[in-house]
Amino acid sequence: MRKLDPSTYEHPLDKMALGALKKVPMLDKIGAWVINFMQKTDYMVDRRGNDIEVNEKLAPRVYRLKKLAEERLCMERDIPMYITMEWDYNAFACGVDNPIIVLNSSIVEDFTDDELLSIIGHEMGHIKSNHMLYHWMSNNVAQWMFNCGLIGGTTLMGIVVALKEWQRKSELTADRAGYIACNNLDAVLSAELKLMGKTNPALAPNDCNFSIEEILSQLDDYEKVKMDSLYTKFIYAYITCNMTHPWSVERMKEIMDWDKSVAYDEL
Amino acid sequence: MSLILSNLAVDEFIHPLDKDAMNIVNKVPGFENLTKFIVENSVEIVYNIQLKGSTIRLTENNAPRVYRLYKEAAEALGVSQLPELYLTRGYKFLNRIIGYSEPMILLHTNCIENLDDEQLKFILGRCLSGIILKHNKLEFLCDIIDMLKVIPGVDVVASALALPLNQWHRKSELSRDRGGLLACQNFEAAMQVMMLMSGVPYGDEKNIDIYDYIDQAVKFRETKGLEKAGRVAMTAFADKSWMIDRASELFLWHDMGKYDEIIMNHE
Repeated sequence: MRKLDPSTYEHPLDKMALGALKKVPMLDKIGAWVINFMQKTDYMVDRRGNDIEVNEKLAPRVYRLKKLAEERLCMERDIPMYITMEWDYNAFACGVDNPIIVLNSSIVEDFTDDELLSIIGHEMGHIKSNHMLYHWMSNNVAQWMFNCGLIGGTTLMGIVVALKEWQRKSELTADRAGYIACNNLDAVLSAELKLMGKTNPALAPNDCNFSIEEILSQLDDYEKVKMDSLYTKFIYAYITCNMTHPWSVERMKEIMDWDKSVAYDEL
Repeated sequence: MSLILSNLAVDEFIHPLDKDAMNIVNKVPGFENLTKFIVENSVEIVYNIQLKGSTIRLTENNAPRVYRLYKEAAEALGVSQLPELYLTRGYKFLNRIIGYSEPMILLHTNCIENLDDEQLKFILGRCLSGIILKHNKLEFLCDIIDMLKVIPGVDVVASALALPLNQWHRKSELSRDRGGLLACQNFEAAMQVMMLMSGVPYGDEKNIDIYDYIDQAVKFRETKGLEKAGRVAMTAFADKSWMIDRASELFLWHDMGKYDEIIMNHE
């Protein structure tokens, strides 16, 4: 793909909410200034001090995949990448003017090339759509809320709920970017399954076959529990409102739906 | 295949102290209906959404070996209605029963990746016997007390209430261990899981003499002076049994011939 405009694959709800956020005056300028300051004084020190940088010599496999993802997603510049020693399956992007990506070592160890590409593509998708500024706010406003006491907290609560709601939608956009990067739906779904609790094939070769049909039937049951009554809908909203990512089954369904849609074919 | 213990009565394997506690609870008028009402309308819905939304439900097509063992364990204990079984990524030995009228079981991937058939059956049997023993009735109360402990003012009362409940919880684990043994019907496998839970490296558990391991329990109980005072005090506030105590209690129960008695009665 010569030139990839993120607006061609962004999730409509993400696009809409981000558009509204961008209209708030000065929010982006203040946020960007704080993040740039934090990145220089904190994040980068931590990365350079504790993690390894992804390059041809230290992590050749990840470096190759990174170059491939950059090419497929038409990234305008080189994104520095680091690997940190962690047991959890996780990865994140941070920074506004000079974004970086951090991968946990467990992901590099346990994920296949295509699965890893979908994760790297997911994080690059966040960078491409400029999500990090508002992610940072959404993750930190809750902390300010505590510091502001009751009155300030109640006012900010509405903002937190709105920011988190958008943040979850932004993950769907990033999932699509991950799919574009690896171009393999099975790998995207299998990576998501691994985050949910799929066993490691190296440790349990006989117990690592999970069927997508079963997950779809689980999704049906999930919808049933969620939509059972007004009361369950309220509980669902209550436990979801503070989450940074959508429920895994919803993410899987969204990416499968997008795969079938006209928009993906056009792309 | 293990022997099917049809008509297995709870009284055959329940720990006496566990039985006393359950008797007291059953005498409180309305307790059962009240807890049922609260659990069904709060935690059960929350867990239902959480488990269905972001963990993997195991079925005959998802990890078939595990499900086969699960069915065998249920058959051995005479459980006709199988609770839903869920899997999440984790390195501990989590095996928790959740819910009341429609209980669910949550497992860590570690149990599948690192245990053999018989060992896994012990873990699954342990969960299932918790359902036969109706332990969720009181476990819910422990959860509530835990929540109250953080509220200033109530915390003193809650901590006092927690003492008898903790004692019950410690003994309830002993009943469940016996249930696990009755499900897998392999004493060595049961003791091997105990060893792994105590910290024996995976793979070494099969080479260790059970008597050497139990020896540590004897030493633990023979402690004197300050160490003994510490042990007694720490035990009173602990909501879990010491691992070595659990192992030695199961060892003694088996050694006294109680296990063989049950098997012989059902043959």
